[in-house]
Amino acid sequence: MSVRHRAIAGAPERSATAAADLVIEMLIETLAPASVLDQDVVVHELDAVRGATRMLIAGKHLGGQAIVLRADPLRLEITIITGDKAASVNENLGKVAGAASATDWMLHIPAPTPIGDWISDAVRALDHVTIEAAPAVTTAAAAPTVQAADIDIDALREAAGGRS
Amino acid sequence: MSAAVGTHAATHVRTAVHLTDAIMGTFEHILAHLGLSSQYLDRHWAVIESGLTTWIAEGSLADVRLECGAPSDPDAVFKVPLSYKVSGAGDITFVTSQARLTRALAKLESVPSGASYRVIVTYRGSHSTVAGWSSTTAADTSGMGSYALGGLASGPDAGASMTYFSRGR
Repeated sequence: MSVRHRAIAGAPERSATAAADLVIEMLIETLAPASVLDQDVVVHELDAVRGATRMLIAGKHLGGQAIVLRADPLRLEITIITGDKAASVNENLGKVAGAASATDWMLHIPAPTPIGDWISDAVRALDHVTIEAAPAVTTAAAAPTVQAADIDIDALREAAGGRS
Repeated sequence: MSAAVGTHAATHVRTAVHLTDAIMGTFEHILAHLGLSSQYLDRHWAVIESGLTTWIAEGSLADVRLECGAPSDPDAVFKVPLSYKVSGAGDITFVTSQARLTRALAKLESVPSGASYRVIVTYRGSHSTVAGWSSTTAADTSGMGSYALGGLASGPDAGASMTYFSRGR
């Protein structure tokens, strides 16, 4: 899976509404090349969370927690930088490459206190937006865990010529 | 000289965007904490945001108020007065007092479930017209207990603080 991150400047560089619009347009453009996906559904569901995204931005909830788009093989993480640091954000706006071969997608948005119920209500009727946290990324360097019970000791002994 | 004027105007706008964002985020947290609906705020967000940014940038906004309950007899009023500074000196920093707000939320008294609310503003001097706003009368807060909650946010040209009025029912 290809993991991409985009940081977008919020206030004072742009309003919560403008930042939310950029996030939603970025997501729509990123999923647009995926020919298997129903683009009407993509636009409808992302447009439905525009207000929730705006509230998360104004509440300063997207600085530490990212909005995560999973469209295998792409994983896109978006954060919003506010305050003094916003002026120095190196923005890369617009479409993020990598989702053209996606056959499904899910957007994970945080539902922090105290607006968690509002966010939960906003996504309840949507099939591709959830408040569930995105699964952690597994890196290529991580080896599969082998449980002791998975090792056939007898087979190993046999292969080693019956020595014990 | 024109460059300096342009920079000053841009700073004004950035301060206005910063304070508007802090005020909207604060109102959002208060309303959610009180268990009220997000519908009014969500439906009118763009209009409120546009008005606050415009009037803070031109220095005409005296205060913003979030009134919870009937305007004739509100349960709670959150008043955010703006203070304006002469800019051009010192560092350009944009500060938000998120921790202060979090502490303040714990002190809020509950309001009746399903209570209505509205956002209103008062001006100082002349001001630009912003679509979606209409004239009204602010709720009378006399007889309500008041609690200064301190600064919400500040920028190079202005700052915002908040006072909480409660009926204490």
